[in-house]
Amino acid sequence: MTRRIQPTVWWIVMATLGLWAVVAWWVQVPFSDLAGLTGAGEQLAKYFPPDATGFGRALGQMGVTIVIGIWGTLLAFALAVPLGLAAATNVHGSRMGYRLAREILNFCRALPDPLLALIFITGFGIGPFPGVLALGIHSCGFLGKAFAESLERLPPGIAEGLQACGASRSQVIRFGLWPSIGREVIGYTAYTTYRNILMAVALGVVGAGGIGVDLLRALRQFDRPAAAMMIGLIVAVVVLIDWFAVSLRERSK
Amino acid sequence: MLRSVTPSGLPRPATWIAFLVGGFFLYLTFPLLQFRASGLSGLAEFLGAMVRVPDWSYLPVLAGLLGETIAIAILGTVPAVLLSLPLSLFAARNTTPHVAVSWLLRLVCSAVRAIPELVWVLLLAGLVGLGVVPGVLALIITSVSFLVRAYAESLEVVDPKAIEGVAAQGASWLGIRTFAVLPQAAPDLIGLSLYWFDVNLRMSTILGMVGAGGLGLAITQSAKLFKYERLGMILISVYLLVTLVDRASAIARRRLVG
Repeated sequence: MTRRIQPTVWWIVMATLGLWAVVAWWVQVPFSDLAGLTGAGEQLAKYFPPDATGFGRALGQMGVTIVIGIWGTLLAFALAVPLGLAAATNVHGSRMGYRLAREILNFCRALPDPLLALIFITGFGIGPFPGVLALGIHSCGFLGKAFAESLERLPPGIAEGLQACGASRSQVIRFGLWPSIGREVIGYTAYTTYRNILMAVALGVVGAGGIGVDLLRALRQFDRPAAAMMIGLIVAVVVLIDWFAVSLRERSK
Repeated sequence: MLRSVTPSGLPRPATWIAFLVGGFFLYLTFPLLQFRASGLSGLAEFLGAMVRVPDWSYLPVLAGLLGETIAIAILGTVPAVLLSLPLSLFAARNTTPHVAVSWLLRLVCSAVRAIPELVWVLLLAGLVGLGVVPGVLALIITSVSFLVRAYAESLEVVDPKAIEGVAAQGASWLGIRTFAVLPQAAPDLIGLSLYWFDVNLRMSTILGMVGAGGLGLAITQSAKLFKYERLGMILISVYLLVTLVDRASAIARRRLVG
Protein backbone atom coordinates (compact mmCIF):
# COMPACT_ATOMS: atom_id res chain seq x y z
CA MET A 1 0.00 0.00 0.00
CA THR A 2 1.58 3.24 -1.12
CA ARG A 3 2.36 5.78 1.56
CA ARG A 4 2.98 8.62 -0.85
CA ILE A 5 0.49 11.44 -1.13
CA GLN A 6 -0.49 12.19 -4.71
CA PRO A 7 2.03 14.55 -6.33
CA THR A 8 -0.78 16.84 -7.56
CA VAL A 9 -1.82 17.53 -3.97
CA TRP A 10 1.73 18.62 -3.11
CA TRP A 11 1.82 20.85 -6.19
CA ILE A 12 -1.42 22.56 -5.21
CA VAL A 13 -0.26 23.06 -1.64
CA MET A 14 3.11 24.46 -2.77
CA ALA A 15 1.46 26.74 -5.32
CA THR A 16 -0.94 28.09 -2.72
CA LEU A 17 1.86 28.73 -0.25
CA GLY A 18 3.84 30.38 -3.02
CA LEU A 19 0.87 32.60 -3.83
CA TRP A 20 0.60 33.50 -0.17
CA ALA A 21 4.28 34.45 0.00
CA VAL A 22 4.05 36.56 -3.15
CA VAL A 23 1.01 38.40 -1.85
CA ALA A 24 2.66 38.97 1.53
CA TRP A 25 5.72 40.40 -0.18
CA TRP A 26 3.69 42.54 -2.57
CA VAL A 27 1.65 44.15 0.20
CA GLN A 28 4.80 44.53 2.29
CA VAL A 29 3.39 42.90 5.38
CA PRO A 30 5.32 44.24 8.33
CA PHE A 31 6.05 40.87 9.86
CA SER A 32 8.12 42.55 12.55
CA ASP A 33 4.87 43.77 14.07
CA LEU A 34 4.16 40.20 15.05
CA ALA A 35 6.78 40.65 17.76
CA GLY A 36 4.07 42.51 19.62
CA LEU A 37 2.35 39.18 20.24
CA THR A 38 4.96 38.31 22.86
CA GLY A 39 3.35 40.94 25.03
CA ALA A 40 0.09 39.04 24.90
CA GLY A 41 0.47 37.47 28.33
CA GLU A 42 1.13 40.82 29.91
CA GLN A 43 -1.80 42.42 28.11
CA LEU A 44 -4.08 39.55 29.00
CA ALA A 45 -3.38 40.13 32.68
CA LYS A 46 -4.71 43.65 32.35
CA TYR A 47 -8.11 42.26 31.39
CA PHE A 48 -8.51 40.41 34.68
CA PRO A 49 -10.36 40.46 36.95
CA PRO A 50 -13.36 41.38 34.79
CA ASP A 51 -15.31 44.36 36.04
CA ALA A 52 -18.78 43.19 37.00
CA THR A 53 -20.23 46.58 37.94
CA GLY A 54 -21.69 47.28 34.52
CA PHE A 55 -23.15 43.79 34.20
CA GLY A 56 -26.79 44.81 34.46
CA ARG A 57 -26.48 47.29 31.66
CA ALA A 58 -24.39 44.88 29.59
CA LEU A 59 -27.08 42.24 29.97
CA GLY A 60 -29.70 44.69 28.77
CA GLN A 61 -27.56 45.74 25.84
CA MET A 62 -26.96 42.11 24.94
CA GLY A 63 -30.71 41.72 24.90
CA VAL A 64 -30.98 44.63 22.50
CA THR A 65 -28.33 43.01 20.33
CA ILE A 66 -30.29 39.76 20.23
CA VAL A 67 -33.43 41.67 19.35
CA ILE A 68 -31.58 43.39 16.51
CA GLY A 69 -30.47 40.01 15.24
CA ILE A 70 -33.98 38.56 15.42
CA TRP A 71 -35.61 41.52 13.70
CA GLY A 72 -32.91 41.43 11.04
CA THR A 73 -33.64 37.77 10.39
CA LEU A 74 -37.36 38.51 10.28
CA LEU A 75 -36.83 41.18 7.64
CA ALA A 76 -34.53 38.86 5.73
CA PHE A 77 -37.11 36.08 5.83
CA ALA A 78 -39.90 38.38 4.67
CA LEU A 79 -37.78 39.50 1.73
CA ALA A 80 -36.35 36.07 0.98
CA VAL A 81 -39.72 34.34 0.55
CA PRO A 82 -40.88 36.27 -2.53
CA LEU A 83 -37.36 36.65 -3.89
CA GLY A 84 -36.57 33.00 -3.39
CA LEU A 85 -39.72 31.93 -5.17
CA ALA A 86 -39.00 34.29 -8.04
CA ALA A 87 -35.41 33.11 -8.28
CA ALA A 88 -36.19 29.40 -8.53
CA THR A 89 -36.04 28.09 -12.07
CA ASN A 90 -39.00 25.81 -11.53
CA VAL A 91 -41.26 28.32 -9.81
CA HIS A 92 -40.78 31.76 -11.24
CA GLY A 93 -43.54 33.40 -13.19
CA SER A 94 -41.57 35.38 -15.71
CA ARG A 95 -38.09 35.28 -17.17
CA MET A 96 -37.58 38.96 -16.36
CA GLY A 97 -38.71 38.44 -12.80
CA TYR A 98 -36.28 35.54 -12.45
CA ARG A 99 -33.31 37.54 -13.65
CA LEU A 100 -34.29 40.52 -11.53
CA ALA A 101 -34.72 38.41 -8.41
CA ARG A 102 -31.37 36.69 -8.95
CA GLU A 103 -29.62 40.02 -9.41
CA ILE A 104 -31.24 41.53 -6.33
CA LEU A 105 -30.23 38.53 -4.24
CA ASN A 106 -26.65 38.71 -5.49
CA PHE A 107 -26.52 42.42 -4.80
CA CYS A 108 -27.76 41.91 -1.26
CA ARG A 109 -25.23 39.13 -0.62
CA ALA A 110 -22.35 41.15 -2.02
CA LEU A 111 -22.55 44.15 0.28
CA PRO A 112 -21.16 43.46 3.77
CA ASP A 113 -23.45 44.25 6.68
CA PRO A 114 -21.23 46.90 8.28
CA LEU A 115 -21.08 48.80 4.99
CA LEU A 116 -24.86 48.80 4.66
CA ALA A 117 -25.12 49.74 8.33
CA LEU A 118 -22.87 52.74 7.79
CA ILE A 119 -25.07 53.94 4.94
CA PHE A 120 -28.21 53.56 7.00
CA ILE A 121 -26.61 55.21 10.01
CA THR A 122 -25.84 58.24 7.90
CA GLY A 123 -29.50 58.41 7.03
CA PHE A 124 -31.21 57.31 10.25
CA GLY A 125 -28.61 58.28 12.79
CA ILE A 126 -26.85 56.05 15.29
CA GLY A 127 -29.04 53.42 16.88
CA PRO A 128 -30.33 49.87 16.46
CA PHE A 129 -32.62 50.45 13.48
CA PRO A 130 -29.91 50.87 10.81
CA GLY A 131 -28.46 47.60 12.08
CA VAL A 132 -31.76 45.80 11.56
CA LEU A 133 -32.02 47.11 8.01
CA ALA A 134 -28.43 46.19 7.22
CA LEU A 135 -28.81 42.66 8.58
CA GLY A 136 -32.15 42.14 6.89
CA ILE A 137 -31.00 43.25 3.50
CA HIS A 138 -27.71 41.41 3.52
CA SER A 139 -28.93 38.10 4.89
CA CYS A 140 -31.98 37.98 2.63
CA GLY A 141 -29.43 37.48 -0.12
CA PHE A 142 -28.16 34.28 1.43
CA LEU A 143 -31.57 33.11 2.59
CA GLY A 144 -33.28 33.83 -0.73
CA LYS A 145 -30.63 31.95 -2.67
CA ALA A 146 -30.87 29.03 -0.23
CA PHE A 147 -34.66 28.92 -0.62
CA ALA A 148 -34.38 29.06 -4.41
CA GLU A 149 -31.88 26.21 -4.46
CA SER A 150 -34.06 24.14 -2.13
CA LEU A 151 -37.06 24.71 -4.36
CA GLU A 152 -35.08 23.74 -7.45
CA ARG A 153 -34.14 20.44 -5.83
CA LEU A 154 -37.78 19.44 -5.45
CA PRO A 155 -39.08 16.70 -7.74
CA PRO A 156 -41.63 18.05 -10.23
CA GLY A 157 -44.14 15.42 -9.16
CA ILE A 158 -45.28 17.49 -6.20
CA ALA A 159 -46.40 20.43 -8.27
CA GLU A 160 -47.82 18.23 -11.02
CA GLY A 161 -49.84 16.20 -8.54
CA LEU A 162 -51.47 19.26 -7.05
CA GLN A 163 -52.06 20.86 -10.42
CA ALA A 164 -53.81 17.69 -11.54
CA CYS A 165 -56.24 18.21 -8.66
CA GLY A 166 -57.00 21.67 -9.94
CA ALA A 167 -54.87 23.68 -7.53
CA SER A 168 -54.06 27.26 -8.47
CA ARG A 169 -50.46 28.47 -8.62
CA SER A 170 -50.52 29.99 -5.16
CA GLN A 171 -52.10 26.85 -3.73
CA VAL A 172 -49.40 24.71 -5.28
CA ILE A 173 -46.78 26.91 -3.65
CA ARG A 174 -48.47 27.11 -0.25
CA PHE A 175 -49.48 23.48 0.15
CA GLY A 176 -47.04 21.64 -2.04
CA LEU A 177 -43.70 23.39 -2.33
CA TRP A 178 -43.31 25.27 0.95
CA PRO A 179 -44.10 22.33 3.25
CA SER A 180 -41.73 20.15 1.25
CA ILE A 181 -38.77 22.41 1.87
CA GLY A 182 -39.96 23.20 5.41
CA ARG A 183 -37.14 21.31 7.13
CA GLU A 184 -34.46 23.05 5.09
CA VAL A 185 -36.13 26.42 5.68
CA ILE A 186 -35.96 25.87 9.43
CA GLY A 187 -32.30 24.91 9.19
CA TYR A 188 -31.32 27.90 7.07
CA THR A 189 -33.34 30.31 9.20
CA ALA A 190 -31.80 28.98 12.41
CA TYR A 191 -28.32 29.45 10.98
CA THR A 192 -29.21 32.94 9.75
CA THR A 193 -30.52 33.94 13.19
CA TYR A 194 -27.31 32.78 14.85
CA ARG A 195 -25.20 34.53 12.24
CA ASN A 196 -27.21 37.76 12.50
CA ILE A 197 -26.91 37.92 16.27
CA LEU A 198 -23.17 37.49 15.86
CA MET A 199 -23.15 40.25 13.26
CA ALA A 200 -25.29 42.50 15.45
CA VAL A 201 -22.44 42.57 17.97
CA ALA A 202 -20.07 43.68 15.21
CA LEU A 203 -22.56 46.23 13.90
CA GLY A 204 -22.72 47.75 17.35
CA VAL A 205 -19.00 48.44 17.02
CA VAL A 206 -19.78 50.38 13.85
CA GLY A 207 -22.50 52.31 15.66
CA ALA A 208 -25.70 50.35 15.11
CA GLY A 209 -26.75 49.84 18.70
CA GLY A 210 -26.49 47.01 21.18
CA ILE A 211 -23.56 45.82 23.23
CA GLY A 212 -21.05 46.54 20.47
CA VAL A 213 -21.34 50.26 21.16
CA ASP A 214 -20.47 49.80 24.84
CA LEU A 215 -17.66 47.40 23.97
CA LEU A 216 -16.08 49.84 21.55
CA ARG A 217 -16.25 52.59 24.14
CA ALA A 218 -14.64 50.38 26.79
CA LEU A 219 -11.82 49.35 24.47
CA ARG A 220 -11.18 52.87 23.23
CA GLN A 221 -11.00 54.08 26.84
CA PHE A 222 -8.66 51.17 27.70
CA ASP A 223 -11.14 50.05 30.35
CA ARG A 224 -10.01 46.47 29.92
CA PRO A 225 -11.77 44.81 32.88
CA ALA A 226 -15.12 46.16 31.66
CA ALA A 227 -14.35 44.98 28.15
CA ALA A 228 -13.45 41.56 29.53
CA MET A 229 -16.82 41.34 31.26
CA MET A 230 -18.67 42.26 28.09
CA ILE A 231 -16.68 39.85 25.94
CA GLY A 232 -17.33 37.09 28.46
CA LEU A 233 -21.04 37.80 28.35
CA ILE A 234 -21.10 37.89 24.55
CA VAL A 235 -19.22 34.60 24.31
CA ALA A 236 -21.47 32.88 26.84
CA VAL A 237 -24.68 34.02 25.15
CA VAL A 238 -23.51 33.33 21.61
CA VAL A 239 -22.19 29.86 22.46
CA LEU A 240 -25.58 29.05 23.96
CA ILE A 241 -27.42 30.31 20.90
CA ASP A 242 -24.98 28.49 18.66
CA TRP A 243 -25.57 25.21 20.48
CA PHE A 244 -29.30 25.78 20.22
CA ALA A 245 -29.18 26.56 16.50
CA VAL A 246 -26.96 23.56 15.78
CA SER A 247 -29.25 21.17 17.61
CA LEU A 248 -32.20 22.66 15.72
CA ARG A 249 -30.39 22.08 12.46
CA GLU A 250 -29.45 18.51 13.35
CA ARG A 251 -33.03 17.73 14.20
CA SER A 252 -34.31 19.23 10.99
CA LYS A 253 -32.06 17.06 8.82
CA MET B 1 -43.22 17.26 6.22
CA LEU B 2 -44.68 20.14 8.14
CA ARG B 3 -48.37 19.80 8.71
CA SER B 4 -49.58 23.30 9.36
CA VAL B 5 -53.06 22.83 7.95
CA THR B 6 -55.80 20.86 9.71
CA PRO B 7 -58.77 19.23 8.00
CA SER B 8 -60.85 22.35 8.57
CA GLY B 9 -58.33 24.34 6.54
CA LEU B 10 -57.18 26.50 9.47
CA PRO B 11 -53.71 26.25 11.00
CA ARG B 12 -53.17 24.13 14.09
CA PRO B 13 -53.56 25.73 17.56
CA ALA B 14 -49.83 25.45 18.08
CA THR B 15 -49.25 27.62 15.03
CA TRP B 16 -51.76 30.20 16.29
CA ILE B 17 -50.03 30.38 19.65
CA ALA B 18 -46.60 30.63 18.04
CA PHE B 19 -47.78 33.50 15.89
CA LEU B 20 -49.41 35.30 18.83
CA VAL B 21 -46.38 34.96 21.06
CA GLY B 22 -44.11 35.96 18.22
CA GLY B 23 -46.24 38.95 17.35
CA PHE B 24 -46.34 40.04 20.97
CA PHE B 25 -42.57 39.74 21.20
CA LEU B 26 -42.15 41.87 18.10
CA TYR B 27 -44.59 44.47 19.39
CA LEU B 28 -42.72 44.70 22.70
CA THR B 29 -39.29 44.95 21.18
CA PHE B 30 -40.02 47.38 18.38
CA PRO B 31 -39.42 50.52 20.52
CA LEU B 32 -35.95 49.19 21.28
CA LEU B 33 -35.08 49.68 17.67
CA GLN B 34 -35.51 53.47 17.81
CA PHE B 35 -37.01 53.81 14.38
CA ARG B 36 -37.18 57.40 13.23
CA ALA B 37 -39.30 58.11 10.19
CA SER B 38 -37.36 61.29 9.59
CA GLY B 39 -34.45 59.07 8.77
CA LEU B 40 -36.03 58.06 5.49
CA SER B 41 -35.60 61.50 3.98
CA GLY B 42 -32.09 61.68 5.40
CA LEU B 43 -31.33 58.38 3.72
CA ALA B 44 -32.76 59.51 0.39
CA GLU B 45 -30.67 62.66 0.56
CA PHE B 46 -27.58 60.65 1.33
CA LEU B 47 -28.17 58.17 -1.48
CA GLY B 48 -28.71 61.07 -3.86
CA ALA B 49 -25.44 62.59 -2.77
CA MET B 50 -23.62 59.37 -3.64
CA VAL B 51 -24.89 59.29 -7.19
CA ARG B 52 -22.80 62.19 -8.40
CA VAL B 53 -20.10 62.51 -10.99
CA PRO B 54 -17.34 60.21 -9.80
CA ASP B 55 -14.13 61.67 -8.50
CA TRP B 56 -11.91 60.14 -11.21
CA SER B 57 -8.72 61.26 -9.53
CA TYR B 58 -9.60 58.90 -6.72
CA LEU B 59 -9.43 55.82 -8.92
CA PRO B 60 -5.73 54.96 -8.44
CA VAL B 61 -6.07 55.17 -4.67
CA LEU B 62 -9.18 53.05 -4.85
CA ALA B 63 -7.46 50.44 -7.00
CA GLY B 64 -4.58 50.21 -4.56
CA LEU B 65 -6.96 49.75 -1.63
CA LEU B 66 -8.88 47.07 -3.52
CA GLY B 67 -5.65 45.20 -4.07
CA GLU B 68 -4.79 45.48 -0.41
CA THR B 69 -8.24 44.23 0.52
CA ILE B 70 -7.93 41.15 -1.70
CA ALA B 71 -4.47 40.57 -0.30
CA ILE B 72 -5.76 40.63 3.28
CA ALA B 73 -8.39 38.07 2.39
CA ILE B 74 -5.83 35.73 0.76
CA LEU B 75 -3.27 36.18 3.53
CA GLY B 76 -5.94 35.34 6.08
CA THR B 77 -7.70 32.44 4.40
CA VAL B 78 -4.76 30.33 3.21
CA PRO B 79 -3.10 29.75 6.61
CA ALA B 80 -6.53 29.19 8.14
CA VAL B 81 -7.34 26.43 5.63
CA LEU B 82 -3.97 24.75 6.18
CA LEU B 83 -4.33 24.91 9.96
CA SER B 84 -7.94 23.79 10.01
CA LEU B 85 -7.41 20.59 8.03
CA PRO B 86 -5.41 18.73 10.68
CA LEU B 87 -7.41 20.29 13.52
CA SER B 88 -10.69 19.20 12.02
CA LEU B 89 -9.51 15.59 12.22
CA PHE B 90 -9.62 16.04 15.98
CA ALA B 91 -12.98 17.75 15.91
CA ALA B 92 -14.87 15.20 13.84
CA ARG B 93 -16.43 12.51 15.97
CA ASN B 94 -15.41 9.68 13.63
CA THR B 95 -11.74 10.61 13.35
CA THR B 96 -10.97 12.02 16.77
CA PRO B 97 -8.91 9.97 19.28
CA HIS B 98 -11.53 10.67 21.95
CA VAL B 99 -15.02 12.15 21.95
CA ALA B 100 -14.09 14.56 24.74
CA VAL B 101 -11.34 16.02 22.56
CA SER B 102 -13.87 16.66 19.82
CA TRP B 103 -16.36 18.22 22.21
CA LEU B 104 -13.76 20.48 23.80
CA LEU B 105 -12.29 21.59 20.48
CA ARG B 106 -15.73 22.43 19.14
CA LEU B 107 -16.53 24.42 22.28
CA VAL B 108 -13.32 26.44 21.99
CA CYS B 109 -14.05 27.13 18.33
CA SER B 110 -17.57 28.20 19.18
CA ALA B 111 -16.28 30.60 21.82
CA VAL B 112 -13.62 32.09 19.56
CA ARG B 113 -16.14 32.48 16.75
CA ALA B 114 -18.49 34.31 19.13
CA ILE B 115 -16.14 37.27 19.07
CA PRO B 116 -16.68 39.15 15.79
CA GLU B 117 -13.73 39.83 13.52
CA LEU B 118 -14.00 43.57 14.15
CA VAL B 119 -13.57 43.03 17.89
CA TRP B 120 -10.63 40.71 17.29
CA VAL B 121 -8.97 43.47 15.27
CA LEU B 122 -9.47 45.89 18.16
CA LEU B 123 -8.03 43.39 20.63
CA LEU B 124 -5.04 42.55 18.44
CA ALA B 125 -4.32 46.14 17.47
CA GLY B 126 -3.26 46.74 21.06
CA LEU B 127 -0.53 44.11 20.57
CA VAL B 128 0.63 44.42 16.99
CA GLY B 129 -0.45 47.92 16.05
CA LEU B 130 -2.70 49.00 13.21
CA GLY B 131 -2.49 48.05 9.58
CA VAL B 132 -2.65 44.81 7.66
CA VAL B 133 -1.31 42.56 10.43
CA PRO B 134 -4.17 42.67 12.96
CA GLY B 135 -6.66 42.26 10.12
CA VAL B 136 -4.95 39.15 8.77
CA LEU B 137 -4.54 37.66 12.23
CA ALA B 138 -8.17 38.33 13.08
CA LEU B 139 -9.24 36.59 9.86
CA ILE B 140 -7.01 33.61 10.57
CA ILE B 141 -8.40 33.22 14.09
CA THR B 142 -12.06 33.46 13.13
CA SER B 143 -11.60 31.41 9.96
CA VAL B 144 -9.98 28.53 11.80
CA SER B 145 -12.78 28.51 14.35
CA PHE B 146 -15.37 28.33 11.58
CA LEU B 147 -13.55 25.96 9.25
CA VAL B 148 -12.61 23.41 11.91
CA ARG B 149 -16.26 22.84 12.74
CA ALA B 150 -17.43 23.04 9.13
CA TYR B 151 -14.76 20.58 7.94
CA ALA B 152 -15.61 18.30 10.88
CA GLU B 153 -19.23 18.14 9.79
CA SER B 154 -18.15 17.07 6.30
CA LEU B 155 -15.76 14.49 7.69
CA GLU B 156 -18.48 12.99 9.83
CA VAL B 157 -20.68 12.07 6.88
CA VAL B 158 -17.98 10.09 5.13
CA ASP B 159 -18.85 6.51 4.21
CA PRO B 160 -17.63 4.29 7.08
CA LYS B 161 -17.16 1.31 4.75
CA ALA B 162 -14.28 3.03 3.01
CA ILE B 163 -12.64 3.60 6.38
CA GLU B 164 -13.07 -0.04 7.33
CA GLY B 165 -11.63 -1.13 4.01
CA VAL B 166 -8.48 0.91 4.42
CA ALA B 167 -8.12 -0.04 8.06
CA ALA B 168 -8.40 -3.72 7.16
CA GLN B 169 -5.28 -3.36 5.04
CA GLY B 170 -3.34 -2.32 8.13
CA ALA B 171 -3.15 1.46 7.61
CA SER B 172 -1.91 3.60 10.48
CA TRP B 173 -4.06 6.14 12.32
CA LEU B 174 -2.88 8.91 10.02
CA GLY B 175 -2.99 6.65 7.01
CA ILE B 176 -6.68 5.91 7.45
CA ARG B 177 -7.46 9.56 7.61
CA THR B 178 -5.27 10.54 4.69
CA PHE B 179 -6.37 7.82 2.30
CA ALA B 180 -9.96 7.13 3.24
CA VAL B 181 -11.52 10.05 5.05
CA LEU B 182 -9.93 13.15 3.52
CA PRO B 183 -10.23 12.13 -0.15
CA GLN B 184 -13.93 11.41 0.30
CA ALA B 185 -14.59 14.68 2.08
CA ALA B 186 -12.30 16.64 -0.24
CA PRO B 187 -15.05 18.02 -2.55
CA ASP B 188 -16.99 19.36 0.42
CA LEU B 189 -13.84 20.74 2.03
CA ILE B 190 -12.84 22.55 -1.15
CA GLY B 191 -16.34 23.98 -1.53
CA LEU B 192 -16.33 25.18 2.06
CA SER B 193 -12.91 26.78 1.71
CA LEU B 194 -13.89 28.67 -1.42
CA TYR B 195 -17.14 29.78 0.21
CA TRP B 196 -15.29 31.00 3.27
CA PHE B 197 -12.75 32.88 1.16
CA ASP B 198 -15.72 34.72 -0.30
CA VAL B 199 -16.96 35.59 3.21
CA ASN B 200 -13.46 36.70 4.25
CA LEU B 201 -13.20 38.94 1.21
CA ARG B 202 -16.35 40.73 2.26
CA MET B 203 -14.99 41.01 5.77
CA SER B 204 -11.72 42.46 4.54
CA THR B 205 -13.53 45.32 2.87
CA ILE B 206 -14.75 46.59 6.23
CA LEU B 207 -12.04 45.54 8.67
CA GLY B 208 -10.29 48.79 7.91
CA MET B 209 -13.12 50.61 9.66
CA VAL B 210 -11.41 49.77 12.93
CA GLY B 211 -7.90 50.15 11.62
CA ALA B 212 -6.96 46.98 9.77
CA GLY B 213 -6.02 48.28 6.35
CA GLY B 214 -7.82 47.92 3.04
CA LEU B 215 -10.98 49.74 1.97
CA GLY B 216 -12.52 50.07 5.42
CA LEU B 217 -10.57 53.14 6.41
CA ALA B 218 -11.45 54.85 3.11
CA ILE B 219 -15.11 54.15 3.79
CA THR B 220 -15.17 55.83 7.19
CA GLN B 221 -12.96 58.66 5.98
CA SER B 222 -15.02 59.54 2.93
CA ALA B 223 -18.15 59.46 5.07
CA LYS B 224 -16.60 61.80 7.63
CA LEU B 225 -15.23 64.16 5.01
CA PHE B 226 -18.63 64.17 3.26
CA LYS B 227 -16.96 63.03 0.06
CA TYR B 228 -19.99 60.99 -0.85
CA GLU B 229 -19.09 60.51 -4.50
CA ARG B 230 -16.06 58.56 -3.29
CA LEU B 231 -18.28 56.52 -1.04
CA GLY B 232 -20.44 55.70 -4.02
CA MET B 233 -17.37 54.64 -5.99
CA ILE B 234 -16.21 52.47 -3.11
CA LEU B 235 -19.62 50.83 -2.88
CA ILE B 236 -19.70 50.04 -6.58
CA SER B 237 -16.18 48.66 -6.53
CA VAL B 238 -16.95 46.47 -3.49
CA TYR B 239 -20.03 45.15 -5.24
CA LEU B 240 -18.12 44.44 -8.46
CA LEU B 241 -15.22 42.83 -6.65
CA VAL B 242 -17.36 40.55 -4.52
CA THR B 243 -19.60 39.57 -7.42
CA LEU B 244 -16.60 38.78 -9.63
CA VAL B 245 -14.90 36.65 -7.02
CA ASP B 246 -18.23 35.01 -6.20
CA ARG B 247 -18.75 33.94 -9.84
CA ALA B 248 -15.13 32.86 -10.15
CA SER B 249 -15.31 30.73 -7.05
CA ALA B 250 -18.60 29.20 -8.21
CA ILE B 251 -16.92 28.20 -11.48
CA ALA B 252 -13.88 26.92 -9.60
CA ARG B 253 -16.11 24.89 -7.34
CA ARG B 254 -17.90 23.31 -10.27
CA ARG B 255 -14.63 22.43 -12.02
CA LEU B 256 -12.86 21.05 -8.97
CA VAL B 257 -15.80 19.34 -7.42
CA GLY B 258 -18.58 18.74 -9.91
